[in-house]
Amino acid sequence: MISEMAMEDIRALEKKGVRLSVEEIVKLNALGVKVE
Amino acid sequence: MVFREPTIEQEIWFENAARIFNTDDDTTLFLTRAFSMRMGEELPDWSKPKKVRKQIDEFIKKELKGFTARQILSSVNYCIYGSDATVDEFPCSEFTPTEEDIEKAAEMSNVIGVVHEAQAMRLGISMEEMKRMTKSELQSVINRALEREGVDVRKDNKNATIADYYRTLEHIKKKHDVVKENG
Repeated sequence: MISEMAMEDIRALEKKGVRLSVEEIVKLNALGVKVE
Repeated sequence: MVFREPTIEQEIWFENAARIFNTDDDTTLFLTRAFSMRMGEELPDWSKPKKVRKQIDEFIKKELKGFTARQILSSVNYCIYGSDATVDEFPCSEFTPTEEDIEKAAEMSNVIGVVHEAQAMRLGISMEEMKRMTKSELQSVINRALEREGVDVRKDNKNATIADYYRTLEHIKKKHDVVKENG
């Protein structure tokens, strides 16, 4: 499942040039799914 | 050797032992916690650090031999936190413990806070009975009592998850040196 909330934050960070690790993306997405 | 979700007695023992050791080393704390979570094993007097350290060393040599750090860490974190959605995404063999996983396993659980909450609510459970329960069992009793008083526990839990999300996001931003925006 994809969390819209997490995707938005991840995209915003990527726009700033931040390269997130797979673990960070998965963790943020998992928490976002729980919130939504 | 079997690990299980720690009882309140085991959690309190770990918190006391960790304070007596006075260390910030997460690996030491994590191994101390694993030692405290063995099912059916008596724990030594936490106020005697030399004796405790000796028993932990024996536990590492005898009982942890043959297991990888990943296996032990996964078991301990699973017993404390349940299944982790971030781990389920990958085959278990590809899961490499990060510093954060070790930190999580070594973290204090604020068990005393939950015990105090139960005492303040006068639930009629003695300290001895509480010690035999796990933190999640006691939390369920507290939640049932709160629900009877009309408190929306699920809403409170959702707020806690939202807080957890933003804490994680802030942690990631800080790690990558992202400058905080106004508003």
